[in-house]
Amino acid sequence: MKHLSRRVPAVALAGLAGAIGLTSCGGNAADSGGLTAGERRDAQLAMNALQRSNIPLQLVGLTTVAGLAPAACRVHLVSRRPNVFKVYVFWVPFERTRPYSWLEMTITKDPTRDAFHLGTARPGAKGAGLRARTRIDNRVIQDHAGGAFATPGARCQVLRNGYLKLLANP
Amino acid sequence: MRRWLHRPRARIAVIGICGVALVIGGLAVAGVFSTGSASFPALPTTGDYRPISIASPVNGAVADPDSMSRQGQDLTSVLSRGAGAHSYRVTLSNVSSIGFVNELDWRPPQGMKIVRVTGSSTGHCGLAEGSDSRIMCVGLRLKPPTCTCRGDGGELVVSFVADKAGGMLAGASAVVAATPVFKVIPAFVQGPDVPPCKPGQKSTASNPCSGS
Repeated sequence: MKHLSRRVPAVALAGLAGAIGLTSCGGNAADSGGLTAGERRDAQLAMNALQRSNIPLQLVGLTTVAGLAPAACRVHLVSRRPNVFKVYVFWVPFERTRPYSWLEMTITKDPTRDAFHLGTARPGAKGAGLRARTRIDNRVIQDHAGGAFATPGARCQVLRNGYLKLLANP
Repeated sequence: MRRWLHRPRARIAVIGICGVALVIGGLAVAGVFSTGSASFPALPTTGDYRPISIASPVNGAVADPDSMSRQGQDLTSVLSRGAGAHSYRVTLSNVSSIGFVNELDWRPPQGMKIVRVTGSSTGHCGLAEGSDSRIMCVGLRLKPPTCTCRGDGGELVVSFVADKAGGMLAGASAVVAATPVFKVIPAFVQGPDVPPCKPGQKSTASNPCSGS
């Protein structure tokens, strides 16, 4: 029993240390997109901070005008301490004579430091076949992204209420 | 009790209990730590929290896009005659709910062809490249309206020379680039509530009431 009474606290301490170690490892390990759990959390919090602003109205409005859901939505971690994110949402219009449009946001957990830009570009794929149009659309999406597709980052989604949701990296 | 503990089965039981306690303790610690920076603020996934989607138009029911108006809802255009012959000016006002307008273009009404742009009240305006007669303005910062119902946003006046008048139509304008603002731009102004008039009371400017 003496052996047992000595071993129990040692085993308990080892288990405790293991649990703490596992938890902290989960917080700092980057996913396939290069974002840690903490950075993903900060990205979602920064997007949540926009919920009471003009931005959800514009996201829904731009989707309605385009006649299609956004063709791209991307969150990119621009800098750390504090975590600053760039959110890039791009619309390809249903009507090919309408312009492309995109909304670029530089956001943090503190919305007073956020910056926004809305851009449009005239489409150049009128009359082209579906495959050629898709290729041109993808090129235009990349042309205006300004590094939004670089890592660390993740895809995002515009919801029906205009809120933004960070998606899991595969 | 001591004798009991010396039995092999008893030892196994004690180790088992300790093991269960460790697992529970470890999970509790993990829970405490994971509520810190590593936890994820989950959003609901139903109702308005579903991904945005737009119902696609019925095939064959879409109008010819070239027959549709290019006028957006973010600017108003007023076309008027200028001082000289064939000179005109168009006044464009920001009535959008987006924010500041930084770039825009304006197309004259059908039948009017712009010869040259002679000036603008702010920014830089000129004839856009391409086959269509269009004025393109950049370097603007037209302020948003205090309410889209008031139309008191920033204003741009562009003077130009055209070959002929375009009738009563004011052409079509569209925002090319803008800086959205954080604060919602209201679409209506909530007036103060007016109490109902008491018997014999008349509504005055200083003491308004309703139903007198």
